[in-house]
Amino acid sequence: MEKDNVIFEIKKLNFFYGSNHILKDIDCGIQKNKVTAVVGPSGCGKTTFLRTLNRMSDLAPTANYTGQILLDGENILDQDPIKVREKVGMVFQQPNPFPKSIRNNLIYGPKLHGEKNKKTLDDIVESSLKQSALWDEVKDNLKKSGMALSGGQQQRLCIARALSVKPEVLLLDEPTSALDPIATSKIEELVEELSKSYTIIIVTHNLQQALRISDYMMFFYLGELVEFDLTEKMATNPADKRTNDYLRGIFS
Amino acid sequence: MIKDRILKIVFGIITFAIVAVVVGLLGFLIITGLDDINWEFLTAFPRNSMVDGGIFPAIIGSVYFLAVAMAFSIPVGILGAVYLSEYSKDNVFKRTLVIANNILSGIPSIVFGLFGLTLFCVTFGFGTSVLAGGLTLGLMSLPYVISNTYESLIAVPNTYREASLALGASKASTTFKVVIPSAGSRILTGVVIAIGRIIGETAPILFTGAAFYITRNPVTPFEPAMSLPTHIYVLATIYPSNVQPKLEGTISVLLLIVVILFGFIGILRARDIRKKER
Repeated sequence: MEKDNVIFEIKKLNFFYGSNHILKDIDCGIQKNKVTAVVGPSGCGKTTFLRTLNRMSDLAPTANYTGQILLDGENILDQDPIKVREKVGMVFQQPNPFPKSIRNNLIYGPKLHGEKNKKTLDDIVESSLKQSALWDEVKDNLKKSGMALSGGQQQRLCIARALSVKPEVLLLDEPTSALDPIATSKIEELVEELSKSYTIIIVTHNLQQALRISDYMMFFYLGELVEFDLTEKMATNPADKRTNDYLRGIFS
Repeated sequence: MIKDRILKIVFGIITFAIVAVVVGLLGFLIITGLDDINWEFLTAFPRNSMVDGGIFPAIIGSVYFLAVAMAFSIPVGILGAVYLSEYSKDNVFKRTLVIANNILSGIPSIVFGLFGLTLFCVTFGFGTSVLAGGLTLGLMSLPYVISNTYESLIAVPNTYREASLALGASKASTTFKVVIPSAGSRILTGVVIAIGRIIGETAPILFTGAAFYITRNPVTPFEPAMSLPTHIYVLATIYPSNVQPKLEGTISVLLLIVVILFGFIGILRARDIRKKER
């Protein structure tokens, strides 16, 4: 793997919930402006891994970790989680727009970070909606409640909201598991498009999806990072037997 | 199924009977007093040993008492509920607070009255005044405000909080800009319910702020005031039966206010449900 284009460098990361050892000695580097899919059976730690990358995992009262996660060379585990989350956005499993208008969903983040100029905010609304391929569908209805959109549109609104604060990295936690196939394929196209300007890390249960959209794949099993390589290579010629078994559907 | 049909009829009759009693009672009391209500009744001071005139100072006094009570219990209650739902960890301390709050709402109002008398009138030296009576009422409404607000806040889906935090919002911004606004209409409903509960309370203000009779409305919060429930109490117990029409009229006015308040709650709730469906 290329060494010079790493955005996240993870060193000896161990994660615990109370006495539960969730992530064990994770060491890896995540490539900038690529799509990295995180796969593995339920309970393997992949969602915890994702949530550690923007310190959302801190919200659990018994969370505890050791090791380092370097983002652009700085250890985010030492930083204020609020600052980390500005740089590392997140989209969740269930579409979760705020019960506010589409526009207010999108200016909430920028306003928090001090943007007051109405013109700038309008520009942010437009550009984030265009980036999330939702602009054409909602441009005449920006005052409509975000909750009134369809599930797929809501999820794209959530992606737009995550983009509104101009993050470097976008974490997607099974973003299509609550969506129908058409909405899913739209999100997948979007992920491909967005990877030109953002680093995307996506947790998915859907192996086909991981194969379709990712450049790199990480396979987690029982809290260990078993294999991490180019998706093509892992799909055709996995190095580890466990990866092979998982990809062939021997356990899921 | 014949059994289902019988049960349906039995339950229907029971429900109907209960509703009929409540509606009948309310309707009877309101209608009995309706013919005593006129413009003068609502805008004049009582005259001639309460036989003539109106209940203007009692209406104004009730408004004053409620204003003081709510000025105290809305901020304290909402912030307390925010602490319970957003900030406190789920431990013995928090559970004790929640239980204590529930117990507080079960304490008889006369006990609140005597407590208010000791604390506000005597210890704080407010005397018999709108301030002391209002604060006593406020204390009494506090558990309702807290538990209603707490319930509305914990009903806000966690996904909203996560969405906000993931955008780099602090806990305070998340609470005040996302969580509380999402619970807004439910919190408002809770506050109106609390007002409905205490508007008819007599005992808490009887010793702490109520006057039997005044000739001018209080201008500072350190003066006593009349109020609708204490006026009913006074008319019913102290004066001879020739004040009966005024008594009926006062009851009617108080009940109408309560009915309107709860009607307002109904509208708020209906709007809330419609919003969710949309």
